[in-house]
Formats: sequence, C-alpha cells, structure tokens
Amino acid sequence: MGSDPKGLAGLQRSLTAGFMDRFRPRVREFTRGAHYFRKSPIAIAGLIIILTFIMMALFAPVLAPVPPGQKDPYEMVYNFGEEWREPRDGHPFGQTRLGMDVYYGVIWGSRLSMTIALEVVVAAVLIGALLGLVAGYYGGWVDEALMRVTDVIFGIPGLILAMAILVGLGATLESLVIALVVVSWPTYARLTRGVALSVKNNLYVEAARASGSRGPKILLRHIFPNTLSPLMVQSTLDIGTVVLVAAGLSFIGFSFTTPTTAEWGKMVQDGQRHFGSAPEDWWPVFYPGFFIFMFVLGFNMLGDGLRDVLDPRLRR
Amino acid sequence: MKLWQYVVRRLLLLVPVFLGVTAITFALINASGDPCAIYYSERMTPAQQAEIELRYGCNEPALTRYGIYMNNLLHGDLGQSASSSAPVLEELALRFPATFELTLVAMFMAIVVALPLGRISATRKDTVPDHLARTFALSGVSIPIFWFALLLQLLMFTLDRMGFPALPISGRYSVTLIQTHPFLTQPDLQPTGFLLVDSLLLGDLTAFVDLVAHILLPAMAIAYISVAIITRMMRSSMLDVLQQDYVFTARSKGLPERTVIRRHAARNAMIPTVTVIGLSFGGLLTGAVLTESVFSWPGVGAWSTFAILARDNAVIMGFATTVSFVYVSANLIVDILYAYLDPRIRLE
Repeated sequence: MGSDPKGLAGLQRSLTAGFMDRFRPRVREFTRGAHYFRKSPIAIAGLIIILTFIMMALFAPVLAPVPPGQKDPYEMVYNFGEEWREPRDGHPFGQTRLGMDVYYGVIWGSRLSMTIALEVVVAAVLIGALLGLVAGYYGGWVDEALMRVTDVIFGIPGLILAMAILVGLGATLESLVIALVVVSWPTYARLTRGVALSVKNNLYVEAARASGSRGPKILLRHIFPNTLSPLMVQSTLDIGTVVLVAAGLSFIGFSFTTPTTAEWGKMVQDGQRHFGSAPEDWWPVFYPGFFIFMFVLGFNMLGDGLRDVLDPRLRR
Repeated sequence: MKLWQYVVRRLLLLVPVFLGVTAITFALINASGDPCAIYYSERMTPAQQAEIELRYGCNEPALTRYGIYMNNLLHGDLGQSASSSAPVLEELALRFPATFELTLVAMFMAIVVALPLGRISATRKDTVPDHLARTFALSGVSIPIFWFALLLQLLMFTLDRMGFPALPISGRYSVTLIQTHPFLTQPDLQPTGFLLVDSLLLGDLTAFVDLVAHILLPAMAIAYISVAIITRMMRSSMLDVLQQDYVFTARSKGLPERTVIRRHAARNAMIPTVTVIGLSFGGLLTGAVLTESVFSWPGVGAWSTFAILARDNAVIMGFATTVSFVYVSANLIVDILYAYLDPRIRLE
C-alpha cells in the first residue's frame, strides 16, 4: 500500500470524511443553535448579566480589596461611628447598622452565591440525571420507587422542606447545600427519566443493543446525549432559583453564616430590621436585594433563551 | 376510566406520599440524635420532661417512636411549641385564617391580572405589549419576594412623604379601630375567622375598607410570582391553541376575531393554565412565609419565621407537615378538576 500513494490518500480521505460525517450533524446543529441564540436579545442580555457576575466573583479581591489584617474575606468589617452612613465616595452603596460597607458585601456576596449555586446544581444534576436515566431505561420497581420518592419531595413546597432540613441538620452552610440539593434533584430525575423513556425504543437504541452494546454503554452513548439540552436549560434556570431560595432562608432567620458575612439574604435581613422604623435608610436593603434580583434574572433570561434555541419545535 | 375511578386512584396514590412526607419529618426530628430535643424547653420541670418523654416515646426504639408519631399526627398532635407551651396545632389553627385569607386574595389578584396579560401577550406575539408582558413575567420569577415587599413599603413611604395617599404597610387592620370594632381582636365574635368576610357579615363597612386597604400590599407582594407563572403558562398554551384546526375553522366561518379568541381559544388555553394556578398555591404559601413578617401580618408565615428566630423547632416541623398536607390536598383537587375539564387525562 505504501507504493500506492493515491490509495493511501484515498483511505485517509475516506477516514477523515467518516470522522467529519459523524460530527457534521452536531456541528450543523451547533451553528444553527448559535444563529438562533444571536437573534435572541433576551438570551444575550442574560449572558451579559451572568458574565458580569462571573467577573465580579472572580475579581472580588480587586474590586473590593480585603482590608489588611482581615483573615476571612467573606467577613465584613465593623466601622463604629459610621452607622447608617449614606452612599458617598469610598462607600458607593452606603454603610450598614454596624458601619459595614454595603459595596464590599455585595461584591463578595456574589462569590458566595455563585459558589453555593454551582455546588448545589452540579450535585443535583449528577444525582438526578443518574437516577433518572437508570429508572427510565430499566423501568420496573426501580422506576416505581424513584417516582414515589420524587412525589414525596414534590409534595412539600421547596422552601418549607429546606426549612425542615435546616432545623433537622442544624443551620450551617453545609446543611444549606444539602437541603437545596434534596429539593432540586427530583426535577432532574424526572426530566432525564422522561427522555430515557421516550428514546429507549428508538431504532438506533435497538441497533446498539442488537450489535451487542450493554446497558451502561447504551445509557451513556445513546440515551444520555438526548438529555443534555433539557438538562442545560433546567440547570441554568435552577442556578437562579437556588440563589433565590438560599437568600430567602437566610432572610427569614436561618443563620448559616455569621451576622457579618457578606451574604445577600443576610444583608437584606440585617438592613430590614432598621428599615421598619427608618425607611429613609434604604441602601442596606436595596443594593443586596437588587444584586439577588439581577443574578436570578440573568440566569432566568439565559435559561429561557436557551430553551428557545435548543428546542427545535419552538424555533418554527 | 370514569371520573370517580380516577378520583379513587388519585386518592390511593396519596397514601404513599403522606407516608413519605411523615417519614421525612420524622427522620429530621430525630436527626439531632435526641429524638425529643425539639420538644424540650429550658424552663421545663423534671415532671414536665417526664410527661414529654412518655407522650413522644423518647426512650422507645425508632420504629415504635414512628408509630407513636403517626398516631399523634392522626390525632392532630403536631407537638408542642417550646416558646408558648401551647399545642402546635392550636397555634396553627389560630393563625391559619389570616394566611388563608391573604393567599386567596393574592390568588384572585394573580388570576385577574395574569389571564388577560397572557392572552394579550399571545395574540400580539412579538410586539411591544408582548415584550413588556414577558419582561414583567420574567422579573416576577426572578425577584426576591421579601425584597419586593420591602420595595413596596418604601414606595408607600415615599408617596406618604410626598403627600399622596398611601396604603398601610403593616398589620391586618388599623390599631385605632380595635376599640370601636371589637370583633377584630376577639375570635369568639368572628363568624368565620376570615376578617374580610366577617366584617361584611357584621355589616361593618368601615372595618371592611380598612381591612381591604391593609391586605392589598402584602397580597400584591405575594401575588407577583404567581402572576408571572400564570402569564407565561397562559401565553404559551394560548399560542399552542391558536395553531389548532378548530381555531382555523372558527375564523374561516367568519366569526369575529374577538369571539374566536374568547370562545374558542382562551377557553381551551385555560385547561393547562388551571394546573399552574393550582400549583401556584404552594408558591403563595412560600410567599407568606417570606413576607408576612415584613408586613407584620399575623399569619402562620410570620409565626414560622418567629419560630426560626426563637429556635422553636417543634413549631417549624409541625408547620412543614401541615403545609405539605394542605399543599398535597390542593394539588389533588387541581388534578381532579383537570381530569374533569380534560377527559383525555383520565385515559392515561
């Protein structure tokens, strides 16, 4: 074959062609998706908001330098004698009950929120997707059991269930993450189960089975890819929800952080105690709440936009 | 499947859910290691502690304790508040009407705003009203509800400062009315416990107006998220329905567009929307927890947040159990209503 360069080139060409053929539909799908994404102003606005928050979280030490001598950057510093000072130079968002800088808290709060949200959503997706795939594909009692468990969890409003878990496990950041994962995973389990159920009898799955592929390989190679789009949409939306619920829990009084931690929900709660009697001091309440709002809005906008892009039925 | 068969089937499916919910709450009560820790308070005498131990079977094995727990629940014993030493159920019953009244008004507001909004959004897809409605809805699902509540208060405060009439920002009624309208504070004078209804039954218009003014702001705060969810659902199901053949038929036989939208499209678009309205009940209860304390609304939400601060864990557990029972029952009613409206569901 070495004496026949033409044949080699031909082989090479057919090999690359085979390779490209395998990916061409995906590339085309991606290009088409990107095209639709570019045409969706909501998705783009959402993406910009999210990128802003990512930058804020990454560059928190630059945007809000940690005061010298401060060990934990998430802890805000007291400034006695500067209680309830309004926004001005050096303190663009004003100061709180204890003279803490609202701007500092809001910036470092973005890092804390982002961390919690990512931890929760990654864990919930992994647990939910795995259980959902297995249940949907194999069916039987595994499926039945999983569905009953999700029924139970959906039977308690998320925030209330999280409250009960925090009471049971004690209010710490770890239990907060656990509580939010417990509340979130069933959505993913039902989602992937539904996809697995609807595609498991498709011809290409039959073909894979006929050619000797075993369950785990079929699940991973042929069924799991179908769940990627809905999982992506749902997890984007969930990052917002997780932050919203976490802030809510913190606002109603669960102290999984210290009273001086840069945590958005805690900050609103702290400002609100004074707000009832002196609503003219609005800044400690307004800014942290506004950042929660924008954060959640960004992820909801992107999630909505992604749904339009990734669901071919909605495009037409 | 007949409707009654469907109802029976759904009722049977409820049993594992209730068992599961109680298993979760029971496990969480026991999670600290001491199964009765949540019932003790510091001021209890040894005799009282012994009584608690007997009542909740603190020294029994876990399975027996679960039996006792279930038996207590079935008899309406949700435990005892450590801060007030009153039975949790009694305290809940005392405050539930205030919350229920609030959520009903909020739900009414949400439906009245959301249905037309979703309809307009769908019939004028991709125009300015549609974009506005969608943005409004998107904000509703993204806004921290407690922060929204505080902003509403700030708005009222500012209006008041500027000399405009403003809605009251806290309480269920004006304290100045207590003397002259005694039914406001005395449960035995209230026919139903729902003060809005009571004031009308008693023919007390002054109190009614005052009660309405007080409920508007908290109801608005709680309703926003439901407005958002219902609007989105109504929009998408309306868009779906507008593609259907029967709408095409209605148009082609020359019916005016208004009739087509109202009689043929909106009615059918309501079917999936009903489910969402039912589900939003859970959102409203959650909203009550997050905002009642902001508005000093004397309901179960404010009470549960007080319990969190007072570390009165028995109250929170009892509250969680009750809320999930209410929530699951509400969903059951919605499912049955749905099956009634859309017979296809029963065939599944």
